Amino acid sequence: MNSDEVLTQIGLIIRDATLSGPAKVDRSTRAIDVRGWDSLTHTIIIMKVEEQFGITLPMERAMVLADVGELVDLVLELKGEK
Amino acid sequence: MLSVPKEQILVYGNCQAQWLAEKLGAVAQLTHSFDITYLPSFGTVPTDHVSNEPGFFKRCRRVLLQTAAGAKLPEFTAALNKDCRQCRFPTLWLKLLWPLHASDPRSVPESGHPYGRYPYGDRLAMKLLNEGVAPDDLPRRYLDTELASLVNLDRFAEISFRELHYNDRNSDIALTPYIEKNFRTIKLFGTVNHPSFAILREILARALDFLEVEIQADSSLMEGVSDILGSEEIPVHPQVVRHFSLQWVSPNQRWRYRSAMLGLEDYLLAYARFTPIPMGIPPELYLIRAREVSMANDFPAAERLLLEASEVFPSTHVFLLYLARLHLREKRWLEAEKILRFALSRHPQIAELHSGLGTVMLGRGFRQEAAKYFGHALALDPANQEARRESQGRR
Repeated sequence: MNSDEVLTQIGLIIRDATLSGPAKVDRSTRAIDVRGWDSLTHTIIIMKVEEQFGITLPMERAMVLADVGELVDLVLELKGEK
Repeated sequence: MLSVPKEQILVYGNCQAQWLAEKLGAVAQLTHSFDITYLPSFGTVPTDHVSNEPGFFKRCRRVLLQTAAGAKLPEFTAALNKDCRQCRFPTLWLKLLWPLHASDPRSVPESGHPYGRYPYGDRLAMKLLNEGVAPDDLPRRYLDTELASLVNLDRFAEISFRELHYNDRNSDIALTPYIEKNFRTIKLFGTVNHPSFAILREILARALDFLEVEIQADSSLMEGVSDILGSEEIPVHPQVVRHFSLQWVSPNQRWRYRSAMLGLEDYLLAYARFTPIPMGIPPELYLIRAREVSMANDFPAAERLLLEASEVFPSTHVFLLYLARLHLREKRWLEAEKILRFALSRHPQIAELHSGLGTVMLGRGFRQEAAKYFGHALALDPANQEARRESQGRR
C-alpha cells in the first residue's frame, strides 16, 4: 500500500466523520481547516483509521499530528511500509 | 499609604479553570495572603486584565495550569520566577457517553445564542435529516437505529480512555482512574466537555492540596442550582446507557437544556426542528435539586434553593409550598406557618397554601382555625385532597 492509497482512504474517513467535510483532503489538510473536525471527531477518525488499517496509533503521536500528511506517514510506518 | 500588592495565585485554562479560580477565591485562608487571578486560555484577554500589569507574572507564587493533550505551554510561563510552583491539571472531557457528537453546521452564533442554538450536534440525527426524515419522525427513527451499526462503543471507549490517560501523563493531577471508576454510577459530565461538580470537586480538593490549604472541598463550596458546569445537558442515548450500565440515568430522565427541562424525545424533536431554547434556569430544576438534597437530609441546602427559586420566579408558588411541606413533614409547625403565610400574601388564590395552613393549625391544636383554612381551600378548589381528607376525617 503506497502513500497515495493511504491518503485516499484517510480522506474518505475524514469526510465521513466530519459530515460536512471538505471535497478534497490532501497531505497539507489540517484539523483546523476542516469544519466539524473537533476533538471528538478526531477520536472517531483515530478509531476508524485503526480499524481500516489494522493498527493501534500511539496516543502521544496521534494527539499531536500537524496535518493529514503526518497521519499518512504514521500509518505507513506502523504498517511497516515506510 | 501605598498598599503592597499581594502575591498571586494564577489559574489558567478554560471555563473549568475559571470555576476553580472562583472557588479558590472563596477560601479565606488563601485570599488572606494571595490574590487569585483567572487567565482564560481561549478568546481574547481584555487589555485591562490584571495580567497585563508590569511585573504581574513575577508576583505569581503558585500557578494552576490547565493542560490539554498536544497543546503547547502558554508563553507566559517563560516569564514566571524560577521559584514559582506550578501544578498542571487536565482539561476534563468524557467522549464515550456521546459517541454521536458532531458539529452541526446549522448551529452558528446568533443573537441570544452566542455559541449557536445547538453547539452539541448529533451525527445520526443530522444524517437522518439529510436523508429526508421529517423532524417530527426523527425521534422514532433515531431511537430505532442500532448504534452498533454506526460505532463500536467498546473500541470508542477504549480510545477515549487512552486519550484521557495520555492527558494525565501531561498533568500533575491524574483524574482518569477516578473517571474510569465512577462514570457508571455518578453523573460526571453533562456534555462531552462540561463536567459535573462531582468531578470538579476532585480537582478542587487536589488544588487545595497543592496550595497546602487544609480545608475540605465540601458541599459548602458548591453553590447554585445546577449540578454541572454550563447550562446544557445532552441526553445520553439509551443504547449507550444500556451498553455501559449507567446507573445515574433513569428511563424517564429529564435533561436540562438552557431554560428547559426536556425528556429524550422532546430534546430530539427540538433539535430536529432546530427550535431556539432561550438561556436561563428552568424552574423545575430547582425542585429537582431541592428534592435531591432534602432526600440526602441536607435541609439547609433545600431551603436555600427553594427561597432562591421563589425570588427568581416570584409568580410561582410551588417553591414556597414545597418548602412549607418539608417543614410540615418534620412537624416544624411554626416555620411552616411562617412560609405559608408569606406565600399566601403573594398567592392568595392557591388552594394548597390554604390547606397547608389548615394542616399547620391542626398540628398546633387549633381545630377551628384549621377548619377555616380547609374551608378556604375547598372553596378555591373542591378537589383539594388535603382539605377533603381532613374535613372528612373530622366528621
